[in-house]
Formats: sequence, structure tokens, C-alpha cells
Amino acid sequence: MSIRELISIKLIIFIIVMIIALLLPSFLPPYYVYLICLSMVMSIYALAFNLLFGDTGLLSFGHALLFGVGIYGVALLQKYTAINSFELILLIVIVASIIFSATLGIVCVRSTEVYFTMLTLGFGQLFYALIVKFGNITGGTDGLPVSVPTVLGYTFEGGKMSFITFPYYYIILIILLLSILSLWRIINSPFGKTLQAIRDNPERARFIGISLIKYREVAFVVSGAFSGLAGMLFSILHGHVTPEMVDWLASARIVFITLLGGYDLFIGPIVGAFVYTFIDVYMKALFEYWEFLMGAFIILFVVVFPRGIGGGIDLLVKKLSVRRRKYGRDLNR
Amino acid sequence: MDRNLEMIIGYIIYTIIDSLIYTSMLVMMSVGLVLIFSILGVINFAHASFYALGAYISYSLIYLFTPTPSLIFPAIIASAVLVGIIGAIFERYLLSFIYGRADVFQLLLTFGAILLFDGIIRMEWGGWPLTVQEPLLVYGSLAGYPIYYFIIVVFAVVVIIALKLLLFKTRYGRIIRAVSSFKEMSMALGINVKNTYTSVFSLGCFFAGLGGGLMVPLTQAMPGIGLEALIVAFVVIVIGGMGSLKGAVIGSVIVGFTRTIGIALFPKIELAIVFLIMVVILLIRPTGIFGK
Repeated sequence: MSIRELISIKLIIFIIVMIIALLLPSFLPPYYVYLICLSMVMSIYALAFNLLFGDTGLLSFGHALLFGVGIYGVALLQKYTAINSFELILLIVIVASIIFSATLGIVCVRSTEVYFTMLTLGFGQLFYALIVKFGNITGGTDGLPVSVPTVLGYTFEGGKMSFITFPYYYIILIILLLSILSLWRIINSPFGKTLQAIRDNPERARFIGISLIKYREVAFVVSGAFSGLAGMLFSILHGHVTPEMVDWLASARIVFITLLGGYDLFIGPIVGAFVYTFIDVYMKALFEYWEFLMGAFIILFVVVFPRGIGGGIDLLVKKLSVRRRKYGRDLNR
Repeated sequence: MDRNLEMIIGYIIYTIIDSLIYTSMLVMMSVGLVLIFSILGVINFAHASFYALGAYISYSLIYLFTPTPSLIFPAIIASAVLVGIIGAIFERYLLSFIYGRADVFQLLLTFGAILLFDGIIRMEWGGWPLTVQEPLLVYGSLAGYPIYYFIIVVFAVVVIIALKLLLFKTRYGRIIRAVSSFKEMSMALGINVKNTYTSVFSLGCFFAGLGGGLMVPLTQAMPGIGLEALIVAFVVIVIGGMGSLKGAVIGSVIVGFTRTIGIALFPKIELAIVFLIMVVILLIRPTGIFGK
């Protein structure tokens, strides 16, 4: 299979997927449209997480906090200000996420490995505790409602579900595509390659004059900005925010989603987000003891398929293409 | 005036006793975590489940033995031993498959185990809080406080001393320290590293089960107790320095007292204070107080 062939196959697949994606809301029941929206939002979140985990080698166990900036950003903006326009909320949340993750990053990226994980876990729980305790501002464990915003000046009547089916699905789709494009560019830029060098061999990276902390900080901020964006989309989609969305189990969930899809492939987190969203919903609906099955699932994946679904597909594709390749095995992986 | 002073002193004593109890629980939890981390190199999230299992199994055994209340401590210890056995099985047949892989996989496996055990607990005991009241009253009281409180503290002290003796005065302790400092060399000297791993993990789980069992008469056995204890125990071992037993004890004292005093004085930000201490200590000493 030549490279040109491969690209054209990928292009055809992309076009088919896009056509299906554009037509989906017109023939699917609203609930499934909602689930697909949720999967797309989680895809952005997981991609942002994987920039830090897969490419920089920093395992954050408090990523729900960065997601939470977006979630609570929308809820607090709607509660305390008159701002209700989607574009303005988007802008404010992204700026807030950048400021927040830059501040947090300065503290966190100085430590690595287990200590980075524990520090992010600590910060995540710190803010979770603050959100719960300061209930008069944040709504406490009851959470806060989030209403449907106006988009480009239009107000949408007729409930949340119809809002999701018509403009919101397409908004999320566009933002997802833009996020994928920009993260893809970031990961394959010299900056992204430097991050991967730091991940693979921090000492050597430092010898050739790379400032580890600076690069990790920037990666943290980029990841935080996209996580905040995803959080904002999520809270409007869900219509209600609660502290459970930012506790450490929520942070663990995004780690699982990323590993489920495969952390060493770019599209892995997207696959993971879609599969996880549907598994989660059906397990909770079908089985009373869903956490038992979920746990068994996680353990099975960790022990048997550590590279996730994406890794499995990747292996399959490589095996199929290796037969036709002239120069033998691919040594990249 | 005099009455006021008396009240304040009483309040202070109450807070100190409360802190000591909380510290004892944290000691039992974090000592196991540190043991497992320093020998196996695994941050054991599943410790939450072993704590919870200790609480639930103790509840059942105590309930079984209600006619003879003096059997309550044997019941708690028996349940801790059971938890240790469950831990050994967990290590041997699940965790041991993924040694040598990246840390994240071990984190995730033990995280999966939390969900798994949560499911089992809900199947077996249901999702509502279970209360044991008897032991608080059974052993009488001292200066207005149930003797049971003091027994918990004694247990923690015994755990610390026993562990110290075990690690530094016995052959088994030498083996543990050898495996912890140079695994391959110990293997070459004929030490059965696999069994050492299993027994250390089991020992850690035993302590967690003991902590859960001892606390169940004071609090309640309910879903989520394990996670709550685990998160604070994480803070303890990070403050003390991962892999340092001395650090775990000192960290428990720091966190135990701050949290209890925090609950008494600033109930709104008590948990936040604990995490704040952790963040400050990590900023000053990125590897904790006694970390390498």
C-alpha cells in the first residue's frame, strides 16, 4: 500500500464520516444525538489530557479541575452576570482556563512522575472541597443549573433537547474538528516533538539546552485551555453542574478513557471517549452492580490490552500492510 | 469564669483525643501504603477498598458475636486477617501481571479494583450505612471517654512498634529491606522476591483492614468511607515523603491534628487546610519531609 493510496483511503473515510456526522441529527432520536454530543465533548477533553499524558509524559490525576474551570465558569457566569451569549462565554472560559492552568502549572510542573500525579490530585481535591463547602456561592452538593445560551444573538426556545439537535450538535462538531486540527498541528510541530523528547529522555533533553519546566508549563496550559473548553461545552450540554464532575473519580475517568482508546495514538482518546460514553450509559441502565463490571472491564483492559482499542486497531492495520510493504517491517514501533 | 475555663479545657482535651484517634486511623492506613509503595513500587489505590472491606467484615463479625462483647477485638483482628488474605490473592493473581509496566497501569488497575470491590460490597451489604454501637460502651469509660478510644490509640502505637521491630530486628525484615533496595541482587542471593511481594502487600492490606475495623464502631460502614480515608492517607504519605515509614507517622500526626483542629475552628475550610499544607510542603521540599 503506497502512501498516496493510504492518504486517499483516509480522505475517503474522513469524507464518509463527515457526511454521516452531518446527517446524524436528522434521523437519530434526540437521546442518541445527546450521547454523540457527549462523546464529542469528551473527545476534546481526552485529547487535551493526552497532550499532557501521552506526549509530555505527565500523568495528571486532577484534570477534572481544569475541566471544572469550564463547567463552573459557565454556571457562575450565568448566575452572577447577565452574560448569556455563547461566544462571549466561550471567550471568557478559554481566557480563564489559560490564566488558571498557567498559575496551577507553575506550581505543578516543577515535580514529575508520582509527585506530579499526587500534586494534581491534591489540587483537584482542594478545589473540590472548596466547591462543596462554599455552597452559598457554588451551590454546594446540589450544584448549579445551566441554561441554554444565545448563539450569535439568536435565542432558542423549545427546550434543551431541540437546542441540542439543531445548533448545538453542529457547534460541538465544528469545535471538535478545530480542536483536532490544532492539537494535531501542535503535536507534530517542533514544539510537540520537543515535548516527546522530554518525555522519552528528560536528561538528554536538558543537555541539549531545552528548558524542561518551560515546555511542560506550556503543554500544561494548552491542555488546560482545551479541557476548559470541553468543560464549558459539557456543562451547557448537561444543563446542570455538580461537584462530582470535578472530584478525583472524574479525573480517574479521563485517564481511563484515554487508556481505553490508546494513549500512544493521536485518535486513541477519541475512540476511547465514544466507546466509554456508550458503555457507561448502557452498563448503568442494564446492570444494578455496574461498578463491579466497570472495574472488571478496567482491569481486563489494563492487563490484556494495555495499548487500548486504538492500539489494537493500529496493530491490525500494521499487520495487514506489512505483507505488502517492500522494505519489511516498520521499525517505528 | 471558672466554669468557662473548665469548659475550654474540656474542649481542648476532647479535641486532642479526637485528633489522636484520627491520627491512629491515618497511621494504619498510610503505613500500609508506604510499605507497598517502597517495596512493590505501586501506589495502591485499592487500599480504599481494603479499608472499607475491613470495616464491613468487622461489622458482620461483630454482629455475629454480639452476645459476647469481649470477642469484639478478636472479631476485628480476624476481619483484618481476612482482608490480608484477600489482599494476597489480589496481588498474586492480578497485580503481579503488570509489574515492570509504566506506573500508570498499576494506578489504573488498583483504581479498577476500587470499583470492583465497591460493587462486591454493594452486592453483599447494600448501599446504606451500617452502625455498630456496642464496643463504645462495652469496655467502660475513663474520665468521661469510652476506653475504646484509648484502645484504638494503643493499637496504632503497637502497629508502629511492631513494624519497626519486624523490619529491623528479624530475618524477614532484612529480606524486605534487601528487596526494597536491590531487587535483582536479592533474587541472585536466592530470596523468593515473588513471595516477599505477596506477603508485604498482604501485610499492608492487613493494616488497612485493621484501621477500617477499628473505626467502624466510631463512624459507620457506608459506601465511600474507603475513598475518603485513602485521599487523606495520600496527603499523609506525600507530606511525609513517599516510601518513608517515619514520614508516614509524622505525616499522620500533622494531618490528624490539623484536620481535627480545623473541623473545630474553621469547619468551612478544614479539608482545604490539609491540602494546603501538602501543597506548601511539596513546594518547599518536592519529595516530602523525609523523602529521598
